[in-house]
Amino acid sequence: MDETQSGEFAPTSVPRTEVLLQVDHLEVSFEQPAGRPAVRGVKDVSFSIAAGETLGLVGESGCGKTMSALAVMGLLPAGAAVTGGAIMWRGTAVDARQIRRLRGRSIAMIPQDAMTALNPLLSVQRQLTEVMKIHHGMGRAAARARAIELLELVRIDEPRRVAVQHPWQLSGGMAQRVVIAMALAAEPDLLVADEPTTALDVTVQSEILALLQMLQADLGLSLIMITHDLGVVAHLAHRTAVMYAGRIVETGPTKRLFHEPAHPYTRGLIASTPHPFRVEATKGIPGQAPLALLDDPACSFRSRCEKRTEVCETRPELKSYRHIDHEAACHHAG
Amino acid sequence: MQVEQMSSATPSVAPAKDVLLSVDGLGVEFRTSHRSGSSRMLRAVDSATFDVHHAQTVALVGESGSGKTTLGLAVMRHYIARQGTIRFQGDDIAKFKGDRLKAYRRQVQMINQDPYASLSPRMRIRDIVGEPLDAHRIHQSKDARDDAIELLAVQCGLPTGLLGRFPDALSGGQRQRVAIARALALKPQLVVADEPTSALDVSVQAQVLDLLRNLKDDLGVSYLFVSHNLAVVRQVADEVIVLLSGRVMERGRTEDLYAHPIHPYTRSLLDAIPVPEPDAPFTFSVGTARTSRRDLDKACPFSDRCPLATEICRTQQPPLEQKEPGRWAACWHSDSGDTPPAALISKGTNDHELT
Repeated sequence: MDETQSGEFAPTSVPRTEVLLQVDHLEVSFEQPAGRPAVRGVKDVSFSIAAGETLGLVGESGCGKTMSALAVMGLLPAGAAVTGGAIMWRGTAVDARQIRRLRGRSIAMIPQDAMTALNPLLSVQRQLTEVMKIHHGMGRAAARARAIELLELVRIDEPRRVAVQHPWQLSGGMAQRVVIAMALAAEPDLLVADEPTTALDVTVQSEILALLQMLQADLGLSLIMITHDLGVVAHLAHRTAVMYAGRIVETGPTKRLFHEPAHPYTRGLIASTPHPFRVEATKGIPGQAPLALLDDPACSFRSRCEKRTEVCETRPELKSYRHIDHEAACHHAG
Repeated sequence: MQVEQMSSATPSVAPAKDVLLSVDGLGVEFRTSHRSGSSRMLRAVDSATFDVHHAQTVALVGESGSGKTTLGLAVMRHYIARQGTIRFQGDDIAKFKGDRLKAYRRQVQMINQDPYASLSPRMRIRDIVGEPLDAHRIHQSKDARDDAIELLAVQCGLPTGLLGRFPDALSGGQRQRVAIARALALKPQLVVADEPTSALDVSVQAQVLDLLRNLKDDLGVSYLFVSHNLAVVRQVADEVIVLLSGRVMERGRTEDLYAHPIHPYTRSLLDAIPVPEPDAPFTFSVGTARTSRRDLDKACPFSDRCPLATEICRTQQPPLEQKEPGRWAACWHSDSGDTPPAALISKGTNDHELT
């Protein structure tokens, strides 16, 4: 029933026949002096992504969305480590060493700030071909030809000219396209995009997101889209997971999440997002997101929640709400 | 239909006595130097004209490099403009000296983008908020000063218990409340707010926007609100000025401008915002990234991206003209005030669209 009301604009669900990546009760912790509470990490983070699917991972700064993605990529910063749960690639649990082999070849990442992700001393071409030389053992000429092909794929006009330029000669949007081309160089199955348009102007953002959408359709890629912008997930993601203080608090098909948000935080986030075509009488959500206190036995949102009762002193489990694929972690869901 | 050539006369909707700040034909230039020793002038703001009325929020919007911050700083008298004038209550601010300048500094205050950078980490909140009071010797006694600071904190939704703390004990939203309290300490008539919520999370951004709106209603302060975020601007602005390459492309009342943008550039900006509703008609539009930009000195700054561009757009800058009552636009192709056909604009140069 619900599927029929999905309009023609937003992405509808894709058949989830082949699960590419499954993250199961992932826990990431930071080294702490003994006795200090665990902060900043993530806990009990579970999600899966099917071939050709886009998962939106949304939340405010510090909620753990980037940390979850870095764990999947095997790129956690020093001091952080996966301390629980499992990451499964095509049904097989993978460890850090195996993730390293998948990275670049099967899973590629588009970082937040393209300008700093690029090496300022190397030409665009040099940075693009490095991936191919490593993962595909390509020769120089073949790699260069492929580099030009990739720049065309990400819709750069005059790819030959851009190929020999250095990052400082590129605009922000152009640099982001180059970074996307690098991510595509080894023909990955899954792209993890971490706020790929946050630093860009709105018209350029639209172009980059359209490019990702188009590449996904044409190449059958799966995409994890990490963002704080609900407008972006509304039009890009098949399914969305909302994170708060290191945990997923609600997850479901994007349309359902917007139409029937079950968690008070999701509702507050939707109400807080400024609408370009109407004035909204919102006061935001009172207070500020706490640091992820992973050992806190209570609901992390309770201090900002208008529905708070005594039962919120115990942590709510993520459980189904109305539909089997729509889950929320709230005692007062709905 | 009324078409008025922009001249030195300042266009205004409301009676002139209500005008607080009047910017007329303002140009700001920077000298850029090259290794070769040659230098040329970069025009950051070019013939900008607009008014800010009492208790009005005027937003300067545009992409990065559009000159919106420079314009805000020119109003702060951070730059003295070479061309045009900025009048505050009828007086040219470039001529202010001595006491009149000091009075202007009281009347016009600023809120910066990043509350992590704009507050001294070595000062207690009480002293950060109180510093403008001290600098202008507003209060004779310590008690009066403390009372004033506490009142400001309450007005800005800042727990008074935080006044003795240092900025590092505060969250981003609380810090921005401190910056707002500091800006309001001298009871200014105009506050230049440069991207005041861009560094904040959305749930906190909504709190701060609500606070700014309430303070305007309660205190009658005017804002010059600089932002790249058109959805945020929709929430706070009475009037919007759209800038591109230092030039005003369009201005008008917020509601009218968003409901039917006259300039194709304004429309392209509005069309690019993903509406936070999955059922809203919206498509991301793929463009092609081009390396070279034509020299736009003698062209409409949007002409290299505009789907309506013709020869005249590439050879002559369109003047800012009144297209409708209260609406101005600088475009050769929107004479009648007709909005260019939506389909044409949204397709534009894009050769690929997805639904």
